[in-house]
Amino acid sequence: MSDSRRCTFRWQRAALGLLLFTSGACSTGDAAAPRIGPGAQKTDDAPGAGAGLENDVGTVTIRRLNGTEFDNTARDLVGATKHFSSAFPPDDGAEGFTNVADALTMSPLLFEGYEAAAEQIAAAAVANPKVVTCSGSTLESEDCATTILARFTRRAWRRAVTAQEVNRLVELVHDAETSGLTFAAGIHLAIKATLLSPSFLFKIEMDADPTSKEPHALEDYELASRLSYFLWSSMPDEVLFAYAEAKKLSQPATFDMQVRRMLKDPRANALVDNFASQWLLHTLTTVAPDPTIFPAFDDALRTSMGQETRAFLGSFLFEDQSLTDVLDAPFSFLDERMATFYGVAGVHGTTPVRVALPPSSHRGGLLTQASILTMTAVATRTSPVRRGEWVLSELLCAPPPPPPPGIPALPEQASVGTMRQRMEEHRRNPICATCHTQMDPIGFSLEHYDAIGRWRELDQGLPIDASGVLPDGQAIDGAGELASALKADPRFERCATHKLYTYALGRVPKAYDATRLADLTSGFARGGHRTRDLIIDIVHSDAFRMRRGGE
Amino acid sequence: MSTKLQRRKFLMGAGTLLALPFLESTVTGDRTARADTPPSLRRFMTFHFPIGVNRAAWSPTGSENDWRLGRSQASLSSHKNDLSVITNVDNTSDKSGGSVHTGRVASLLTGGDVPIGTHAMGTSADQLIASSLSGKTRFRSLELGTAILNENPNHEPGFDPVLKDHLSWSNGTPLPKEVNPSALFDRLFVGSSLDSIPSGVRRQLQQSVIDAVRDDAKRLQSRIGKNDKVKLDEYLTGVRELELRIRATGGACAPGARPGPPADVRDRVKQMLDLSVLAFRCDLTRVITFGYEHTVTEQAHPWVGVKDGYHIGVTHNQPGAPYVAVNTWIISQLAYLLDRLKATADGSGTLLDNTIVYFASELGEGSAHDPRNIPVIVAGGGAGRLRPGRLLDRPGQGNANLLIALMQAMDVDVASFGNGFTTPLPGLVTK
Repeated sequence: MSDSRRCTFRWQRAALGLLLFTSGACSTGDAAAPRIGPGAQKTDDAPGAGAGLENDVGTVTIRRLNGTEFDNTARDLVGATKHFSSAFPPDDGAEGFTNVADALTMSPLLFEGYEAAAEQIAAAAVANPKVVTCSGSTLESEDCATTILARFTRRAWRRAVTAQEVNRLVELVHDAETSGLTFAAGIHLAIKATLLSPSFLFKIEMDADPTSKEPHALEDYELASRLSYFLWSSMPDEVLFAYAEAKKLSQPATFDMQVRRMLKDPRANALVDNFASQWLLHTLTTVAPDPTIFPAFDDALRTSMGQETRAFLGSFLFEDQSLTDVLDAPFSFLDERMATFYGVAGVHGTTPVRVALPPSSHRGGLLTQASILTMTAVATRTSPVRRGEWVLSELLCAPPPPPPPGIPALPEQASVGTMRQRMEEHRRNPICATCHTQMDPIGFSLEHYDAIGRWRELDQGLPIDASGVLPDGQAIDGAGELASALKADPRFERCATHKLYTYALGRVPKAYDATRLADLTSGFARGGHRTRDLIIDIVHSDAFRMRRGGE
Repeated sequence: MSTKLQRRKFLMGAGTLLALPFLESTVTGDRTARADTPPSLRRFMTFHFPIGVNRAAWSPTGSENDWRLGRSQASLSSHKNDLSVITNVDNTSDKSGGSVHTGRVASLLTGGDVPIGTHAMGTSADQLIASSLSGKTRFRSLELGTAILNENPNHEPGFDPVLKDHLSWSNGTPLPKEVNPSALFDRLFVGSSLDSIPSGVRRQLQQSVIDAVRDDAKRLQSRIGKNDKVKLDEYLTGVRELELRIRATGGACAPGARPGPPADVRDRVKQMLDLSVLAFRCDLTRVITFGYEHTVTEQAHPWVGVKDGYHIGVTHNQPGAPYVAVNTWIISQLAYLLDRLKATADGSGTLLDNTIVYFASELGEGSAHDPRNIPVIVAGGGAGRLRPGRLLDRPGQGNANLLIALMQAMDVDVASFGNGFTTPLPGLVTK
């Protein structure tokens, strides 16, 4: 890798807000110049674009609902419980999350999916007496249609609607009836139009002047949606709507009370299913251990593994525990299948229950959970490189750079010796060694766990050596000592803050977020790393409650 | 109320119902005229496969008209005269070269550079072709695959994950691939739930819904920022495509049986290729982009004796015989596609005569992440625009130059493509 490229890499990381590399004195002369024309590509702002804007609250592009949010919103809007999004193309994401506005594009294929889903949701809506509260043909009077659609659009569009907007939909009912359809069929069409409108499909926040960079407070309905999609991955409920309509949600006491109420609501489990799972579990659904080598692995085990980690992470989101304990907690949440898998006695049934982990289980902390260990292996064996890379990327937000292009192919390796012995061969190449000295010691310390997370004493019949030296010179041996090293690493609390902030705002942090992130991190640390308190601090921050135009 | 009046007039006046009436007649016209489809009806299909090849086993030998297929290409022997095999073409439009996988995938069909911090590409060659044919078929293009990369964040730090698994781009919007064969079948052949309503009324009503949502979008458009408008433009493109589809409902082509859930990835490939041939035969689209897996796939290929995941387990760690075995199998899937195209009558010849199949990978020797000398085969006759049966050695030519030539064969002339490419790869396309 050339020096100039390394420099580009350094500033770009800073621009991306990861702030892991100090921007040194090297030239950024080869940075991408903006391009125009039909082949134009969108790239980040030039370096330094955010300089001097420490109070910049940023701006969030209009953000379409992602698949989960779409399904939850349909559920809360009309009681439709189908997973409509399973028929949509998967959402693209950024920084590990699928709620980042700029990454959520809309293709014609997706719009086709929306049309099919809108048809079904509209059918559910016209069968719901809470939606269709009256009947009466528009050929006689438009009152009933107006009543139904005014109420429905306010909820579906999550904002105040104008009489003109409602009338436009009432016309659709009238048109349908004029064409010989029933009133209900007309309402169905109008609701379908409501659900295909950008006002439903996108979370829209307005600026009085879209060209001005002057920060302003969010409007109360917008604030309600920011809260509900962050904490519930769904639309606001009637309580939030009522406060928004009265323009009281933005009042500090009301706001704080509502946030605390929402965190106690079962819908806040969406933080586990979406935030925590996307951060830490997102490849579990696609990992595919070779069935002939690992016949013990099946989809039921995959489900149990996921349940364990989700319940475990949930206990850190909603209980007063330090998030750093996630690395070495002596307990977990096991169902019968997982308990048997770990050799823990006395657990029955398919619901995970809290269990104190005996030393004989060799478990304690996230990195010893079978879900994480399986996700970070390859089909036929463990991969110390992947495990190391995962810890660096996901827990420390310090991903190692990818291999530089043009590395000569490794000679075909004989499959003899332990994984570690084979890897040591690999690390003799000095080009590879730079990054592998960061990743491999982490991976080696987890070598007692096989590719589906089972404890083992031997690899290929040879004893396992789980020792290694971290890049800072610290010697570790095994998962426990790795966990202690990570617990003491200040990058973990910074990384957790960065991840939650990204998810809360639905945008990738920029250079101007640095001070805010540093303040949030130190508050998080001072308060004993309680995730709930970090959530509350984030929603109170000006970046969450305010916005600006100009982009 | 005046808007209401306008709306009612609109619905009553049949003449104004179709704002784009030529589309309706064009589509109907093509479909009814299929029996005597003119031979100039050309299709373009991309078949992408990931992580290059073992170059020694791939490389064909000989001169332009006297040549032999490479060892891993043996399955193509019965199609040798349908192929233009091109050697020494480089996929190096990604001049920044900052990523070994992401940039190569993102630039393959777009010819673009992919510096770190890139979020989107421009418009890919397949989509430029699709634009030129827009309105002629019910689907502007189809994007198909067998798996979707679930990698977020990108393991190549600083690179947007979206760049790593999208080949087709339209004006900065990535076009996702359909990987479920039965969903594709339904999309191609099953109508909407409103089908019981007489078609004239149904279309009017669907159109009125579309008009209403478009009004919403337009109201919004004047009140939002620059980045927001990009999103709203994507939305409006979706609305317009849906509108075109509503106008073009109907399907005069017998689809055969709906595919069941694929037993494994072999089955999935076969189903997707069969549906591709069917979509061409029924003239539902003329542009298809199919990708086998993705650039860091860990798909195992036990049916050719390779149990290890493809990316790390094979291309990184076993770049010899196991790599060749998987390459050979993938190439045999191209042979299957060509068999099917050749077996399908079209115009006065076969579908293969009238199609251009562009088969390529983003990398050359994948074990070294080398983007030079990528494996490329152009198959089919392109309705007279290609002269297959040749080995073309084109050192120094870029894949973007090859795409310019193929676009020209599809009657698309671009002054500049991707990262400033202007000249076609010479000697491939006849005027």
